[in-house]
Amino acid sequence: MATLRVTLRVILRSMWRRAGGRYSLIVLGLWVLVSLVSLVWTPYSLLATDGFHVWSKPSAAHPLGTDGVGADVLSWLMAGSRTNLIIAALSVIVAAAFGLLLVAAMVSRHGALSAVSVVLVDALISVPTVLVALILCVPFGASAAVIVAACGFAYGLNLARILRPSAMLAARSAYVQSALHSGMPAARVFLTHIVPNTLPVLVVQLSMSAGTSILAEAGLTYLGIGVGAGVPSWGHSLATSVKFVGIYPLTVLWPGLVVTAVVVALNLLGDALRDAADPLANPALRGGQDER
Amino acid sequence: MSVEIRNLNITIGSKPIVHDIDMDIADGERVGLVGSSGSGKSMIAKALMGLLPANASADGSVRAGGAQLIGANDTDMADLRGRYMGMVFQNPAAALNPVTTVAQQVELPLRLHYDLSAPERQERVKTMLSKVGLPESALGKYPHELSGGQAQRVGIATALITSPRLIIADEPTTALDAITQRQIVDLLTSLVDDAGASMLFITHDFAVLARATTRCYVLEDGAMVESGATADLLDHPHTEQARKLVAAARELTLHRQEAEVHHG
Amino acid sequence: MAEILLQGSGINKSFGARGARRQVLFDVDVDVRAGECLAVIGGSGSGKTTLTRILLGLETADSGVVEYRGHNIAEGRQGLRMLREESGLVFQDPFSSLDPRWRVGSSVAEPLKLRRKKLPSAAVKQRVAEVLGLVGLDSATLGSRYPIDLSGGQAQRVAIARAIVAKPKVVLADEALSAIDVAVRVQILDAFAAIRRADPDMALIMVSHDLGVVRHIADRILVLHEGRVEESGPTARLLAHSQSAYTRRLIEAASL
Repeated sequence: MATLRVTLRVILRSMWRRAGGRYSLIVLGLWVLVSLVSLVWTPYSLLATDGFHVWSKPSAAHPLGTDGVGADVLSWLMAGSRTNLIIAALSVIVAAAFGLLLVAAMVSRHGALSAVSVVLVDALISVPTVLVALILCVPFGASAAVIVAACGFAYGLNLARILRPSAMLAARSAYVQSALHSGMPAARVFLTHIVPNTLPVLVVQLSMSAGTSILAEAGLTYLGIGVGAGVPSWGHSLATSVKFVGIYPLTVLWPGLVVTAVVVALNLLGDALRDAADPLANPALRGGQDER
Repeated sequence: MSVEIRNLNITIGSKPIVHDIDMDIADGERVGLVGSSGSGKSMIAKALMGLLPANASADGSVRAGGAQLIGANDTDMADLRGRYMGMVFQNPAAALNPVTTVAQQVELPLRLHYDLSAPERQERVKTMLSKVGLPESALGKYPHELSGGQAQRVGIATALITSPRLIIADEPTTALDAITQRQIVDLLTSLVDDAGASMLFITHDFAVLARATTRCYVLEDGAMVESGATADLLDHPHTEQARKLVAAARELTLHRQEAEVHHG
Repeated sequence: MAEILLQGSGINKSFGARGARRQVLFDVDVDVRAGECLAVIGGSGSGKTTLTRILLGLETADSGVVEYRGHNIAEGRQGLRMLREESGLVFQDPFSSLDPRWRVGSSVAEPLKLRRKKLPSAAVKQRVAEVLGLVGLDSATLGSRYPIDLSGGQAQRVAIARAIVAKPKVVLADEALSAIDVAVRVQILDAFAAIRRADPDMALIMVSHDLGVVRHIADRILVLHEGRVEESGPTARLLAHSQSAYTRRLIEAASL
């Protein structure tokens, strides 16, 4: 465990050293912090509406102003951050699980299985995420779970397709042959030899997927097939105010800024994590020599 | 003098790769450059070909065919490379364009650097192929249809088609099996001698060096540590590095007597 | 005579799709005895790699029988399982045979952990240090490194240590020297000699295109030419009294 802690510290330090990594760590740290705080405290209750002060400008009482029903914009954005955090995290987990399962099938030594899975991925990848969400909405109704399922499905397919070349390279390598020859079960070979060797592509792709899930949430919620009415999310904050952007631009600006900042941070996170967490890219992880 | 290198230094970033290299290749001479991997021998060849990586910087003097190559512009360099030099690479399969036929491959340097009619070019290509020991039927073949040895013969034909005065061969036999290695080395040396050209032969294998060259330079960690007639060096290596390379070559080859017991 | 570990008889093998099928092995017979070093020599396209991969159960023959310690490895599971558990592999390119994202110590320990699941980790560590020591490497300094920080010679010695860590009865080394600098090949040969001394009953199959590199280590040489056995016999006799023109060309090519 001690070595794991050391490794984590080295990774974080390497990320911090780069401007992009530092920015992403700060923004994402704030995101998690605000999400946690929002569980126990927001400036106003989400249900507290003030009919006398709708669309009010930022003030001491309402730092980011109020929306069309007089609810506190800051409180809704804070509460929304935890919804988006959960959606992003779950989308990434579902995408990783689904995508890696597909990759395993694609690089398997069973000719038929790999051939079928390659065709399947190519066919399914053409189905738009919105369509998947629409279909899922019919039986299940609009909810965050539908967004997670639709995103996980679409990003999993993308992930599978992008990972396939590097996974294939590892799967055909002498070290995999050697491990199989020594009697390592195929599933373990996949997890310990093949997946780690796709790491550079994997982390970049997954963190970009997290960012895209936020954009997808905003888009789907705007279309009415996202998080249910009354559930706080950044997409919800955008959707309820975007119709009035010509008159009250500030209420659109705040969620817009938050979404942009976080999506940029997630995209930068991928590059930073790849450079910091891959022992081949980061000499500091390989025993500390040559650290720069 | 075919090649004259003086005080050549090459650095990549702040890391010195080779330093204070002096080297001469007389007209018609076959010269070896031997060293372990990482000794910088390929970098010297790249400097000579004007193909140093973009992040490398070189100073000193590298003259080939009378022209100064350090600081030469890309057009002059390309022209010199095309007319004066021919290059043979380590991995023939990778050096050949997979979608061109042998005929197109060998013809290309002629098209680029000489003003000849198509029939003249084809005639030269045919002659060249027979010189490297390939049948006429090889003309229409693609690289994947060739064995390693055949591919390297195509590589040699491509390098020699323009009748260059200097051949630079960078580990041309390392990827081949022992019998093919021997054939390729013998082919290359006889073609170079017939043309009266000079050759720089780069290798990590002293046994190959002994067969391909008359004089050689030993490189270690970017510095020239020894030079002299190849036969002398084989018998009396002076420096630690040369001794190591010669000892390895002797250890890993059959001695004449051993091999000739049967013939004798 | 020592026990016959591996015996291949009448082995045929072809590759390619139906239209362009090419036979690479024709009725090859070969045996490998405990404790010996057998060199399988031939040019590229001779079928030497295919033959030895079939012997080790990495590929299957079209026809012919491979027996490991008396068990046909194509029948039932026991023969093949025994062979897998009791054999080790060394490949041509040391950097592609070690997982670039595994530390050297873990790579070497892998076969041992898989084959002796109950071995305590202290014992694994000790054995890893022992085999690394055997091939002339220090486990304390190299064990925690990644392959990228090794030289080619070091990486190949790590691969040799991994091949013998679980005390195999037979090791296959496929062109294990040809991607290595000549000056370093001697070290690799020394490592092979050391692992043979450490376990005199272990058989070593060395595949090479070059007679020069195997002449000191091989007890017996099998020359393959275009998929057929050209000649085989004890090293000294084969080098001195070869009956085959092809073998003599190999000898000539390996002479200084």
